[in-house]
Amino acid sequence: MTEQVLSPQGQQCLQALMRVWFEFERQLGRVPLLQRLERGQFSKADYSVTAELAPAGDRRLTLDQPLRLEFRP
Amino acid sequence: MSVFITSSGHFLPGPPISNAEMEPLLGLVHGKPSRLKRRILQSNGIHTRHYAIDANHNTTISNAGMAAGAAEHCLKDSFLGKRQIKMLSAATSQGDIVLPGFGSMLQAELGLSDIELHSSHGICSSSMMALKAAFTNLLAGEQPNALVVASELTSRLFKASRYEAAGSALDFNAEFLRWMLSDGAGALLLEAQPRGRCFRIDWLRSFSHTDAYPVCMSVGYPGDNPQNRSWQDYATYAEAEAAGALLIRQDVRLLENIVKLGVDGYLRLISEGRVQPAKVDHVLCHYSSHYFRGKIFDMMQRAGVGIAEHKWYSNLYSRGNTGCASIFIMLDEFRRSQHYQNGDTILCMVPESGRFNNAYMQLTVVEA
Repeated sequence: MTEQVLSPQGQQCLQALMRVWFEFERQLGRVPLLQRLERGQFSKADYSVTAELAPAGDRRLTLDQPLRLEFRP
Repeated sequence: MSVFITSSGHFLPGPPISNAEMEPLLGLVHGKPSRLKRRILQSNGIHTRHYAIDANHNTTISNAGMAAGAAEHCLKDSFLGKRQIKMLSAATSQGDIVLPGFGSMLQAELGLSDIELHSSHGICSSSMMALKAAFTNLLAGEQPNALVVASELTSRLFKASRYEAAGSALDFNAEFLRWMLSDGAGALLLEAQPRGRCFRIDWLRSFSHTDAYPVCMSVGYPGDNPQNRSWQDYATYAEAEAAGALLIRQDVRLLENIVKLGVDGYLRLISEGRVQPAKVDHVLCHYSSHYFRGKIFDMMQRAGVGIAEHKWYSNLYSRGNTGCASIFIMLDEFRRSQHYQNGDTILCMVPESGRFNNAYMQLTVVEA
């Protein structure tokens, strides 16, 4: 942040966006894979694709806990 | 029903200790002066603090003894005697003994009879949790009054011999708090009725984020700890100490999170309508270091929810960072030394870095 937002609407928007960003960071912090990376507990097993894939042939990479973002203006 | 802070007190052991006097008192680790001390002291801005140990590393007063001193000071200025106290709610990060709870030891030290007891264990925000327990107890009509006491005696962890027992290498995270924390106790008396000029507690809220962040400040883990081994997992306490698991540590890499999480809680309270920045007359924020004051202030200012600098009060620089006791010691000194008027709003903030629990409280000055 290098510029200060001066209009009331702009400030309200900035405050809401700050909270969204802080919540997004917390959501990331709740992802087990990222927690293991952050805490130096990332192991060879974490490289295994099967450990992180959804069952029944779903090839999309999933995380133990899905990311959810809520925006409350 | 409202709850009022009708008295307060503090206890700071021994004389003020200057920056130059710190290391001779705590001791040279392996006979060498610290290379980090100057940098950390410059950053935290603390000029003097108090210790409950002397230069020979004898404990001059126990943690429970300091807490009792603050409680006595609080009661001396109050309308109540010890026999009228109905609840004791106590907080510390580390009591003199592991068990029983700190509140039990403090009750005995104070000689209070037949009270309801609560012990709050944690780091800086544990005093606010103890205060919340007492506040809600009074709000529920369970008790007419409560003595809330917070006390810290961390200097015992900072003796040179502690670091020497943990081996030759002294890492930054283990040394950091040696130049940050010191000893002291604060106490507040809560009553369900106002007396003279006092502070009404409008609300007290906290937001904890331990599910999203790792441990940032701890006693019980060794420095390098991929197996999540705690001090109790070693065969002997001597092994735990040799592994550095009994040192107090701060993960400095994570510490910056305190700024945004502190502001996040403040923004939440604004959106809930609890805080109206323009109506706040005084801010008492327990920032652990002057470095963070600027960061918190700047982020609030840029978000358009800043509070004018002249409204901020802190005695961190002269009384030191006394962990959970800080906010009570600050409020006590504010009450005794600062100018305020009936109707003034006081916002108290305690952002805790232990594992990121942030507590906030709003007070209003009233007169019975």
